[in-house]
Amino acid sequence: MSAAPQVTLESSDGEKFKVDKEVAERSVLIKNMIEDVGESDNPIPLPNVNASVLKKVLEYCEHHRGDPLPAADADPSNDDNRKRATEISDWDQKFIQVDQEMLFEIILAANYMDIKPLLDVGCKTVANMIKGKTPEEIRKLFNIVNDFTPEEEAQIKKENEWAEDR
Amino acid sequence: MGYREDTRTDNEMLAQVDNYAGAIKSTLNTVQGHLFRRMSALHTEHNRMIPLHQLPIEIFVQIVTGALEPFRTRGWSRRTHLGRLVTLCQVCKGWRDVIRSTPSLWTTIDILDPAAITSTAISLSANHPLNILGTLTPSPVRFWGNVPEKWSEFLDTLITHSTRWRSIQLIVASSEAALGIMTAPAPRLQSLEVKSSVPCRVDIQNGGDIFQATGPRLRRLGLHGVAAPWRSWVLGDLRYLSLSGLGEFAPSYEEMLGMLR
Repeated sequence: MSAAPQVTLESSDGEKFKVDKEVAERSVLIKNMIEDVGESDNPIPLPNVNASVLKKVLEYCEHHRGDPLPAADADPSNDDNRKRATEISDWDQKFIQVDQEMLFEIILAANYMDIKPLLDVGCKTVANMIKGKTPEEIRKLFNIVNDFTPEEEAQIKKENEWAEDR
Repeated sequence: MGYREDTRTDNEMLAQVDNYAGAIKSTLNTVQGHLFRRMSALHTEHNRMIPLHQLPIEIFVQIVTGALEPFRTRGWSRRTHLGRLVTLCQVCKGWRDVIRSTPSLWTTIDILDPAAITSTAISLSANHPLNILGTLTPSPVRFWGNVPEKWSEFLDTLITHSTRWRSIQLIVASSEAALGIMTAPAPRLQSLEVKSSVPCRVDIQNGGDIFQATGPRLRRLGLHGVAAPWRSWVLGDLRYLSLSGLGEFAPSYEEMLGMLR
């Protein structure tokens, strides 16, 4: 039995990762690069992803290597698709339990490398952090400062009173 | 004589002091306004640097869309979609600007939303398809207490934009309301769910069809206590059908098959 074909990925800080082609191709960016350039021993450069983030992204790709690829034309108004859009599997939940800086780096890497399921997991995780919180709690969570002037704030509060007392 | 002069002098001095005080107050207000604006600009600059705000706008919008889903905390789930959206608009100027300039976020309108926010949403959603909700939650008493004028105001606003309807989920109190909805042109309508507290039948006069025969994009139909012309062309390509409370107005077996062919 022959070994699975492998490719080498190179992070922005020069670290090389040798992985199965099937794993690397969870990234549409890498899949397209391999198709365009053909099989090569040269490492595939990923100048927007550093080694620690790439390691984490590859951990995700390895775990999901056999999963069906997402349909490009999935209808978000469909109930099943909507349910999928709000659910995160147990493994993914554990995987994404990282500090905020790493969480946003993973989202950016997933976006750059075009790994939609990982991007969705990242976005859902941040969305779940926001849900049910007051503006003040959200600011505290993400280190956002209230940048409305007192007049603007009074105006906004007045406009939005109806939303508060439900 | 001397006393009068003293009094006049005192009054003049007091008036002068008042003038000075007014000028100082006005200057202070100007300085304070300037400081608040400067502080606001500095805070906006700080906010631009945080990791969350390094994400591309389309990803931020995806996050906001996810955050608008109902949640286990009672307060969040009891708010309407637009209620949650305006809450998120209060976080900072950056969020407010992005949210207000993203039409797709403003497309779900609830009868519980005040008229002003409904108008804002219709305007900010540009030409995107609209999802209309009119449920009895959170409080039937509160809802029904407002019915006559609120319903007609809500309905009038909606019917003006019927060509943008994508989905409707409403509880109506009369056949007039059901008729009002089902006689408006709705070429983008995909899902219709109408429940009537009083059983009624929608009859279109003069050989016309429901929704003025626009479509048919309607794939999902749920009618509870509301009978429709079951042989309508608009109902001829459904993927989902749920009917109840129709009594003698229920469709025949053939009519049901015709709708789901």
